[in-house]
Amino acid sequence: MSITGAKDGSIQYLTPSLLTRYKIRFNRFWHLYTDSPFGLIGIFLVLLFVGMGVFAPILAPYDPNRPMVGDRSDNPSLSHPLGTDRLGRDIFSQMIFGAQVSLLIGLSAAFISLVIGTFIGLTSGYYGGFIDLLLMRITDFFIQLPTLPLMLVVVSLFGGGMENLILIIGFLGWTGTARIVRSETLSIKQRAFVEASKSVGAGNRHIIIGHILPNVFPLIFANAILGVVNSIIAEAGLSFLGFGVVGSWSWGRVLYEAGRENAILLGSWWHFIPPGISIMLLALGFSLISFSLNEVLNPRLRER
Amino acid sequence: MSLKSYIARRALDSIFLLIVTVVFNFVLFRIMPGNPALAVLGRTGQVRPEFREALQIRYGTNLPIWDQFVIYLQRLLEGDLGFSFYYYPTPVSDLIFSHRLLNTVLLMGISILLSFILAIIFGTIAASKFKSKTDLVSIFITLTSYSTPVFWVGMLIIFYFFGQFHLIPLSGSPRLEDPKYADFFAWALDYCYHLIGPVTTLTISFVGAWFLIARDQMLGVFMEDYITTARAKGLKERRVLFVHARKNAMLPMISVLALAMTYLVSGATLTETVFSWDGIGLLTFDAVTYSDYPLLQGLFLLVAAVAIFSSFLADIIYAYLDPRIRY
Repeated sequence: MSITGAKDGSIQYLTPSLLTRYKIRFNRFWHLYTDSPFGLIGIFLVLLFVGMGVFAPILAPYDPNRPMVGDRSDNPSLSHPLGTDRLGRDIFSQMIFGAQVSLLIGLSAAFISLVIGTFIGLTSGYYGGFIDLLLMRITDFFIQLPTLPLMLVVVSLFGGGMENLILIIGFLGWTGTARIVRSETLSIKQRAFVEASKSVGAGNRHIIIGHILPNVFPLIFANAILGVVNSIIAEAGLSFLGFGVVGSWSWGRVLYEAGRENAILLGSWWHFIPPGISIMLLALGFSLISFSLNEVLNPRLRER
Repeated sequence: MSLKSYIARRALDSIFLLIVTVVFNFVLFRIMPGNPALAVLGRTGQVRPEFREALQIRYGTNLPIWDQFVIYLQRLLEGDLGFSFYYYPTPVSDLIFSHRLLNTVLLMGISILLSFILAIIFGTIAASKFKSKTDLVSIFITLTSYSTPVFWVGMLIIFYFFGQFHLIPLSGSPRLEDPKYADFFAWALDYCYHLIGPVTTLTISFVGAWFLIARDQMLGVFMEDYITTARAKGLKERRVLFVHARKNAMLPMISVLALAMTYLVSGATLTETVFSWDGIGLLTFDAVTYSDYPLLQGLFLLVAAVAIFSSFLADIIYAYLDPRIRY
C-alpha cells in the first residue's frame, strides 16, 4: 500500500487489486516451493503419468484385455516392447492403462480420507470436551491398527472391485489428516478474529466454515497429497495379493499376474520391473510435492 | 494430574476401547449377508453334516443375535476363539499361538530394531547437515523408499540376490521339528539364513517411513540453546549430536516404537507372502483368501488388543518422561 498526493492535495490510498495481491502471494509461495529442486521434479513426474493416463487409448498399441495379440509369454520385441503374458496379452498396453487406475484410485481415495479427516479434526478441535476425547481415542486406535490387514478383513467381507477399493482405502486413511486438522483448529480458534466473530454473534457453523477451514486448508492440502501416496501404495498391495480391480488394469494387478506366472524365477524382468518402477515414480512424484509443500507451510521449518 | 491418576484414566480409556473392539469384532462379522455358518456353507456348497452341526452349536446360529453375543463373550472369556473353517477342526488359538507367532515376532522384532537404529543415525546426520547435499540426497532416497511398494522390493531382492547372485535362499521359514536339522544350531543357522531376505526388505521400508520423523525431531532439538552452548564449549560435533541432542529427540520416537509394537504381532502380510514366511501376516492372507471368518476374527482381536495396549504403554512412558504431557 502506498500513499500519494493527488493534484487537488487530498490523499489517496492505492491498494493493489485483488488479482495483484494473489499474484504477489503466489510468487512468494512459488519462490519458497522451488527452493529445492524436489517440488519441480514432483510436478514433472505427476504430469508425466497424468499424460500417460489421459492419452492411454492413443498411446497403448493394443487393447490390454485382448488375448492372443501375440504369442503366449513372449519375450520383448519391437511389436511388444514388454513382451506378452500367458494369455498373449500385451504387457506394455497394460502398463499404459495402469496409470489410469492408479491415479483414479489414488486421487479419489485420498479425497474421501480428506473429507472425513477434515470433518473429524474440525469437530474435535472446535468443540473440545467429551466429543474431542471420544473422537481422538477412536483416531488413536485407528492410527495404531496396521492398515493392510484391516483393509484385507474389510475386502474379504465386502468384496473387491474398483468402487469398494476406493471406499475401503478412503475410509481407512483419514487418521493423519484428522490429527493435523485438530491441532491447527485448536490454535486458530484462540486467535482474535475468531473471538471478534463470536462477539458479533456468528454461529459455530459460520466460524468453522468461514474462518477456521480456510486457515487450515493449506495444511490439509499438503497432507492430502501424502494421502494420495498412501492410497496408491495400498491399492498396489491389495491388487498384488489378488483383491484388486477386475476388468481394468492397475500396476498392482500386472504385478499380481507376474507373480502368478512365476516371472521372478523365470527371469522375465520385463513383466515385474516396469510396473514396480511406475508405482514408485508416481508415488515419489506426489511425495516430493507433499514434502516441498510442507517445507513452505510448516512455519517451524521456515524460520531457519 | 499425578502420574498415578493419569495412568488410571488411560487404563479406563483402554478398557473402554477394548470393549468397543470386542463388540465391533462381533458385529462386523455378523452384518454379513446371512451369518458365518451360512457364509461358509454358501461358498463351499456341499458340507459334511457334522460340520454344519458343529457350526450351529459353536455359534448358536439359530438363536437370536443377543444370545449369540452372550455365547461369543463366554467362549472368548474361556480363551476359546472358535474353530477355523479352512483348517477345521483346528482351533483358531492353536493356529495363531504357534510357530507362526514366533516367526512373526522374530522377523518383525529384528527388522524394527535395525530400522529404528538406522533411522536415528541417518536422521541425526541429515539434520546436522541441514540443507546440504547430504541432507537433500538422504531425503530423496528415503522418500523414494517410502514411495516403493514393500512387496516389490521383496520381489527385486529375490530376483537379484536369489536368482542372479545366489546369496540368499528363495523363501520359507525353517521349522525346528524338521528332521533334516541335526541339532538346534543347525536349525538356528538356517533360520538366520532365511531371515536375510525379508529382514532387508522390511528394513528398507521402515527406514523410509521413520527417517523423516527422526530428522524432524533432531532439527527441533538443534534449535535449542543448550546445543549451541555445547558446541560453544568446544565439544566434538559427534558428541554433541549423539549424546546431547539425541536424548531429547528420542522422546517423540517412542510413539513410533509403540506403533511398531503392533506390527510385531500383526506381521507384514505382503513381505511374508512374497517370501512365504510362515507367520501371522501369511496366516491373515490365507484367512482372507479362504474366507475363514473365525480365524480373521481371532487375528483382528489379537492385533487390536495389542494396538490398544501398546498405545497405553506409549502414553505412560511419555507422561513419565515428560510431566508436561499429563494435561
